[in-house]
Amino acid sequence: MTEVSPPPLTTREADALVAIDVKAMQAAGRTDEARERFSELVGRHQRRAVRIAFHYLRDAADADEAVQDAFVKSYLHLGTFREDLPFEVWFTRILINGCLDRLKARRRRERWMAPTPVDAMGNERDPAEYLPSRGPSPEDQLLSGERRAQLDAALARLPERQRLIFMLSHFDGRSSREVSAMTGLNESTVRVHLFRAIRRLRSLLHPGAAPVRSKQRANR
Amino acid sequence: MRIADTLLRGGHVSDDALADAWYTGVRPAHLDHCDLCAERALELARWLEDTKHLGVDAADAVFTPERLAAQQSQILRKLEQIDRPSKLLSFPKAPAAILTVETPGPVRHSIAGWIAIAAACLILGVVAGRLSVWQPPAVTPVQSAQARPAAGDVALPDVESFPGEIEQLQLNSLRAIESLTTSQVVVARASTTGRGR
Repeated sequence: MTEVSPPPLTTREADALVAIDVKAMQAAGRTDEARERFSELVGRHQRRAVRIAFHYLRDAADADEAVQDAFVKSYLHLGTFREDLPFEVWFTRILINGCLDRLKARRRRERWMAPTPVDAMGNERDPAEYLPSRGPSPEDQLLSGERRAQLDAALARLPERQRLIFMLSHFDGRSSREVSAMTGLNESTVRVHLFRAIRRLRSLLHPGAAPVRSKQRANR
Repeated sequence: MRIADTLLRGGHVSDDALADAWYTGVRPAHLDHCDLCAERALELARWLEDTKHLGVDAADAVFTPERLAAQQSQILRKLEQIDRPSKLLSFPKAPAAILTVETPGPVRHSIAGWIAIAAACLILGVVAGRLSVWQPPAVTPVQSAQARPAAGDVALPDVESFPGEIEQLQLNSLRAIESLTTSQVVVARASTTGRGR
C-alpha cells in the first residue's frame, strides 16, 4: 500500500506557517530561532520587494534601505499579522508606506535646498522625476541601456499612484484585487489607474502610435 | 461586446479592454473575426511583455544575487540588535545617590556614626566657648566680709573701697588749689560792699 504524500504548500500557506512559528518563538523568548525562521520569509519575498521599491523610489540605495526597514518592521509587528490574509499583501503594504514616507522626506529635504519645480500647468512635479541626482553609480552604468533608460524616464513621468499601480500589476504580476488590498484603493480605481498608466506610457514611448479611435477613423 | 465599443468604435475593442484581456487572460470573442483588433491585441501584448521584461531586468541588474545576500544578512543583523539591545550604564544622578547605591550596609552605618560624633563635638565646643566668656553675678557686702581673709593673712587692698580712696585724694588736692585761689563768691561780695559805701 503506497502512502499518499500531502500536496505541496502554496506560498501563502507556507508564509502563514512561518509567521505562526515566528510569533510563537518570539512569545517564548526563543529569539535566535525566531530570526532563523523569519529569514525564510525574507528570502522568499526579498526579490519582489526590491523590484517594487526600486521602481517606486528610482534609487537603488533608497530602495535597499526601504526594503530592510520593511522587513524589520514586519518582524517587530508580526503579532498584528492575521494569518487569514496573505503575508505578501500585508508586507507589501508596509513596504509601500515606507517608500511613501521616503518620498515625502525627500521632497521636504529638497524644499530646503531648492524651490520645487512645477510643470507647465503650475502643478508640483513628482520628486521622483527630478530626484535624486547622485551622479552615475555602477548601478546607473549597468542601467544605461537605451531602452531601459527610455522606460525609466517614461515611468518617472507617471503620476505617483499610476506608477505604483502599474508596478504592482505589471512588474509584480498582481491582480486588481491584490493591488486593491495592498494599496487600500477600490478595485475599479486600480483598473482605471492601470489603463491610464498604460496609455500614458505608450504615448510617451511611441509618440507616433495613435489610439484605437483615430486609427479606426483613418481606416474608414 | 460592450455598448461603448459598439457605439464609439464601430464594434472594435478598446485598448483598455485589450489590456484587461492580457492581464486576466480572457480573450474577447471579437478578436476571432476581426483582423484589425487581433493585430492590435498582438501588438499590445508584445509591448506589455517587452515592458515587463525591461522593468524586471532593470531592477534585477541593480540588485544582483550578491547584493541581495548582503541585504539579507544586514536585515538579520538588525533584527539581532533589536532582540539583544546593548547594555546601558546608568549615569549617576547625584552624589547622594552614589552614597546610597554603592556603599554596603556596615560602611553606611559607620559614616552615620561619624557624622553624629562630629555634631556632638560641635555642640560641646559651642557650649564651652559660651562658658569661657561668662561672668559671675556681683557679690553682696555681707558675702565680701565673709570672704575677707582673717587677721594675720597678707593685707590686700580693699577692692570695694578702692575707687572711694581715689576720689578722696582728688578732692583734697582740689581743696588745696581752691584755698590758694580767690573764689568767685568772695570777689562778688567784695564788689557789693564797695558799692554800698
